[in-house]
Amino acid sequence: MVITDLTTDALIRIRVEGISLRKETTQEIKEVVKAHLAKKARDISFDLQSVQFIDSMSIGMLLYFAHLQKRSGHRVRIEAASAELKSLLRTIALDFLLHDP
Amino acid sequence: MKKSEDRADPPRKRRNRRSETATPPQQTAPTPSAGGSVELKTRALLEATLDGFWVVDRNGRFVEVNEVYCAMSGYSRDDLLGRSIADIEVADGQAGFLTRMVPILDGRETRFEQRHRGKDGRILDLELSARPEGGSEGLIYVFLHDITRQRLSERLLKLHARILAALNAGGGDRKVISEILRWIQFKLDLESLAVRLREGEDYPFFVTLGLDKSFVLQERGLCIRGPGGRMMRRENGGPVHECLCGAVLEGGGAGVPGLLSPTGTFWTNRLPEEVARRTSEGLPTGFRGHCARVGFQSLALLAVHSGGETIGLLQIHDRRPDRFHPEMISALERITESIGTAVVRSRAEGALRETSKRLGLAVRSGKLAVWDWDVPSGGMIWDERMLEIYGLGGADFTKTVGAWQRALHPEDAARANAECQAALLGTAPFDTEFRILRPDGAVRVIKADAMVERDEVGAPLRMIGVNRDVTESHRQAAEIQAGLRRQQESLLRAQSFQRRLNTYRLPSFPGIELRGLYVPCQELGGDLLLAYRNASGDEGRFESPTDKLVILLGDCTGHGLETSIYAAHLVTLIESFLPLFSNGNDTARFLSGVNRRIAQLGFEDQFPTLFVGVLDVPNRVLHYSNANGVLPFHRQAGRASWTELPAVEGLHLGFDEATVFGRGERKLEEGDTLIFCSDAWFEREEDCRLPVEVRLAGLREDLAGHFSDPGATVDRIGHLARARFPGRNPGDDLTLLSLAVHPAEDLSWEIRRSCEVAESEKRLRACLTGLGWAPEEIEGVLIGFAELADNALHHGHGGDSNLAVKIHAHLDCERAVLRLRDEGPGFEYTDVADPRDGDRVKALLESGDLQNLCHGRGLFMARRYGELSYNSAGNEATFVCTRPQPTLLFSEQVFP
Repeated sequence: MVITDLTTDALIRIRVEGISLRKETTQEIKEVVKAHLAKKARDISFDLQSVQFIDSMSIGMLLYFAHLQKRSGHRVRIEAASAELKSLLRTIALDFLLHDP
Repeated sequence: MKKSEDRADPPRKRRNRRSETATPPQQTAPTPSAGGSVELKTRALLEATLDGFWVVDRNGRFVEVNEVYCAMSGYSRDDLLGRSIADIEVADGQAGFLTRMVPILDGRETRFEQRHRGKDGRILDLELSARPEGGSEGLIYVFLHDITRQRLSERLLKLHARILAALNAGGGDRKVISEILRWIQFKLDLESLAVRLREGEDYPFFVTLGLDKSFVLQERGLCIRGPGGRMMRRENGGPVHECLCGAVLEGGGAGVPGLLSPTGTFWTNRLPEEVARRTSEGLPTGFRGHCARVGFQSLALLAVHSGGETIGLLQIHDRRPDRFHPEMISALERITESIGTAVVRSRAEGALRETSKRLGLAVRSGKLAVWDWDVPSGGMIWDERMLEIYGLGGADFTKTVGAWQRALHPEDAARANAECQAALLGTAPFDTEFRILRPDGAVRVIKADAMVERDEVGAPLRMIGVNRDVTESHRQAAEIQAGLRRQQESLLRAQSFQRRLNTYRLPSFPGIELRGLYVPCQELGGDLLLAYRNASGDEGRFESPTDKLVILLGDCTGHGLETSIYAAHLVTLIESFLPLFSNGNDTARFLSGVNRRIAQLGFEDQFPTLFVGVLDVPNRVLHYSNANGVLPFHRQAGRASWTELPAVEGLHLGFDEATVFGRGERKLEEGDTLIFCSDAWFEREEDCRLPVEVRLAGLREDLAGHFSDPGATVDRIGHLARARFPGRNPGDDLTLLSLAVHPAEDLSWEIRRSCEVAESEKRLRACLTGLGWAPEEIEGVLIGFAELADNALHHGHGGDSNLAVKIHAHLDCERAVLRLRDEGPGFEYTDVADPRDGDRVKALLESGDLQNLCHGRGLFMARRYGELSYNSAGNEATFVCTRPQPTLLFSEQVFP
């Protein structure tokens, strides 16, 4: 699993490379994103193109940021998702996170 | 000289000359109706001409004849006048004068030849010029020119030519003598002749001419024989010859003095009188008098000599008296010498021809090529076979010894030249072998022998030798040697193979090491079953570098050692292809390679049914190659009919199901039977089956007797098939397990903290990877496990690290079964919130209730990747992940 921080002044952008997104990685991502938000509130974007498997903790992370951004008037979006991931998010009614649902 | 020139004149030239000198009939022919003075003048003219002259009427009767013709024929004018021409014509097949009358009268035929018999019986060859006289009497004027001598010369020339032809053609002494007799007969106008040649002690006829057949039969031998054909002998032991012939052959002895010429020839012109005269004086022993009784008047008997030895007898007979005179006998004696010479030479030539023929036959049958080297000049002669062996056309051969030297193979040239020089020097015979390099690049091996002819001081003059192309025999010898080596190697390999296999029994199976089973051929009544794969630490067994199992099922034609030899060949063949597995795991290449090689080796005679397969354990697929024309047939359980599955490319054998796949893909049910049927060799259909019965149940019982630890074994067997081989002979029937390979892992451990979950995941990942699970297949197992483990630790134990979650995992190639039991009170897992409820999710998000938002999501995720169940207490979860069905992609590219 590789995490790449592509954040700009206008957008917090995180790319995750690997077939699964698990809680160990989730914790790391959470800390990075929180650090950026502490400096400046912005929209958050996740690139999960290669992720096929995701656990409940990672889903929880996505919900946490969704809730957080809603309060600050910003958005969380998944700009690239594998077919498997899209299918899962739709199943659990989180497809609103998809950039292009 | 003038005379001989005349005789040599060709007929046409002679005729022309005659035309110039003779008076043309149309100019000189008298007219009977003319006046008397004219008639007299004409008669005088006709009497003066050199040619004969007739006047004949339309009936062919003589009206007038001149003296010249009378002189020719020996008839007087009175003899002829009033007679018919037919009376003097010789009936020899030519058209007679009367036959020619019509064209003569029409003027269409004016000149022709005829043969007349003279008054003394002589034959006259005549050229006639006839012209019709147009008067009312219808007479025909005929001039006749005697060409007898000309025709005689021509015939003699022809006979000379025939004698020469017979001599040159080498047709044998019979042909030569026959022509000589023909010439004598014609030249001397004699009735019959014969030559006897010695054969053993008798003198049978060798050639006869003009003699009656019955005479020849009666006179065929000259030795007097007693009762039973026993030869009568004189006191000196020699045979007693009959008649006058015997007297001649015996050199005038036998009491007939005075009959013989000074050179021993007997001849008489009045045989009956001679016999009568001599009868009173006492006839020689065995006098038969047959010749006199036949009516021969003239008789000559001449001995044929060669080198002072009597080798035969020339007999001449003629019914006419006075045919011989001393000069003729003298001439005949000289001719008889020639006959003797001709006989000897002809026989010598015949012997030489036979020798040459036998030599030629020997040369051809031995495929010998002959060469002849004139050493001083360097010139060389090769026969056609030499040119053929050396690959040279006639124009390419330089006719020098250099041609041979240039043809020598570079590696053999120095040695061959040195051996040739040694032969010339006389220090060693030329008897060697060398290679030549032909112009077409072919290398041939030559066996060469030669002999050297030398002059009086020993210098080499000529070297004659033969070459023989022994390339093929060398190749065959090499093949035989190689074959013997291979046979020896095969024998050793077979013996080793048997020793190894005879001790090969099912493994004790302490863990998961069932890797192969071989049943020696003799125990199977001719069947072969061999399976092997990598078996680490299992020395002496065949190994393939992968987790694929190679299987051979064969129906052998023979038993015992011979079959083992072929089986050893097969195993060697299989082993030689095993590296293909280590290079890309290429089952298709392996099978097609083995298939082709088996076809090349012609193993169908030994294994009319041969099934070569590879069991791909992780993918649960059996690939097979029907090497020897094996066709698969399918029969559904309980049905009688068979269905051919021509395009079947593989067989998938699972615990729950079996499928033949390929274009003829078909799912097999319990009790179905697949038969791999050889389409050749067997006469009876029932003999050509190699059935594989697919059994989907009852396997544990079948296997139970074969393992020392059935319980441990059967638990680990995931993929089974059973091969049953009904033998052709009583007692051959064989039912064996075939393939039972399924590694598995059973693990048990405990965790108490969340941090131990990751460690457990590592352990599971390692095991599953070892069992052939793909990373994406493992990931789902691990997510489900982690969700359940976290659930147990956090919800079951409430974070109490004093409590342990007990975990048991059974992992094999097909499934991962995980059981997690916590020490908590349990829960009702059916009451867990459904995370798929969109309204609920939306509401919780609006409210910011994240804790509830995440409720039930772990169990949901576990269910997504496997089957989840709980015990009734709700504290033990069973999570089963089944590997996805493999994609059975086999197409033409797999089995090209």
